[in-house]
Amino acid sequence: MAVIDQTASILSTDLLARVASRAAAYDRDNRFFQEDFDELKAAGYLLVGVPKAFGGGGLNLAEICKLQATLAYAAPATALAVNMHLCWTGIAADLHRGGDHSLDWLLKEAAAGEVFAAGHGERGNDLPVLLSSATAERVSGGYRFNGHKIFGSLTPVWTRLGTRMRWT
Amino acid sequence: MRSCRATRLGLQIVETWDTMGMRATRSDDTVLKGAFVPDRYIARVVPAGFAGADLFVLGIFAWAEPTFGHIYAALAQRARDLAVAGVQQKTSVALGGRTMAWNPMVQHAVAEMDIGARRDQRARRARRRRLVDRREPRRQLAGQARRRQIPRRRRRQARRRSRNGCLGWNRDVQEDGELERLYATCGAADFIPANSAIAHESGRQDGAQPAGRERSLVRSGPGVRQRRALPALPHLPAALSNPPGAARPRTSLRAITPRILTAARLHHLLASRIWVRKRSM
Repeated sequence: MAVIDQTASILSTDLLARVASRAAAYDRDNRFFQEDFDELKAAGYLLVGVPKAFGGGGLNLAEICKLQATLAYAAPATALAVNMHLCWTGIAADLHRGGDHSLDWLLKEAAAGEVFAAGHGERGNDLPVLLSSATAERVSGGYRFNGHKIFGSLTPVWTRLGTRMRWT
Repeated sequence: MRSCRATRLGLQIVETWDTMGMRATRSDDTVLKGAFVPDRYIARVVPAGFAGADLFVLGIFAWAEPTFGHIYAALAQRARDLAVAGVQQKTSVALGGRTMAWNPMVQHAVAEMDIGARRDQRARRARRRRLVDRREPRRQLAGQARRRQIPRRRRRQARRRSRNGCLGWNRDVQEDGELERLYATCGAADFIPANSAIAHESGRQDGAQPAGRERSLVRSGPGVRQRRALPALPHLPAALSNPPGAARPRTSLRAITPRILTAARLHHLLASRIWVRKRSM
């Protein structure tokens, strides 16, 4: 199986130990994992799924699954929240590799330091992603979005929200 | 239906996150009130529901579910390791001062954890192999991941490991209560909006079969024919010109559902065979 183990080069033992040591305090204080996030970002973890052509690590889904399992063993909440960003960059990377360049802007912005969150969850919507209770209104040059999103993760740090709306 | 990027304008973060687990994620609410999104950040305009499930939409599931599954599997493994370490320190009065590792029920619980862990490892390894080597169509993989069979099973395992893994026996040898924290963390997963009922509920919404009668969807029906007629990806700007109410592409839930249900049934079959084999040993 062509799975490259890059755990050692990205998630060092020291980094994982520090992440694990902070997990209890984050949970007790109901506090965002800011120190974890800063360290992971500095280590290039947010770019592992971005293709190398965009300055990322170029890892695929299987490789990122292994990395995420390693991180989650130390701190599940940290891994779960970072997963939102990794999923968006991974989807964009898959499309890019498949010849669809419609989301290349996402890869460029991720490489520039933007943080992507997932705005899929909605109260009363038991079929998230495929349906939406939020609405979009067509205006000149774009859309106006209205809605209430839940379970987004990364709220203190995200700079881009990937979300879905129903065109009314 | 759109997937897009929103700007900070017209956006409000409401700090609602005070949950039983996964607290550090800070998954607060986001309220959009007239947030403007330029056309260049509109990733897709597709029909609502499964009719709009192109590779981009299904890619969301294809990425989210396996990664979530691996996260919860790692959580379960951590719970198992903590339990094993704990019972080797905790002594038992009933066992004459020996550690709880000598307790037959503890040994049985640990054996169950390891059996479950090996089954998980095989499933994950097989899925990664199919993802990377065999290059199965991502659409099909997304359908399988959609079922969330593995994440749910891992959550159950994590809870069982926490419970069987001597929660009380560890409390006095573990100062920070990590096992209890993991217990709450995996329990919180039951409160996320998506769950394994979605595939079956989708079948009912399609109106093709009542719940529990999905078999005929797989063997026959229009879904089988339509699987070959899945539409091309709706790229910009052509997709943007598709107004609401326009003719839907020749795909529907029926085209996707058989694959989801087939995958779900295979998972059940595989799991039951493994279980029967273990019981007969």
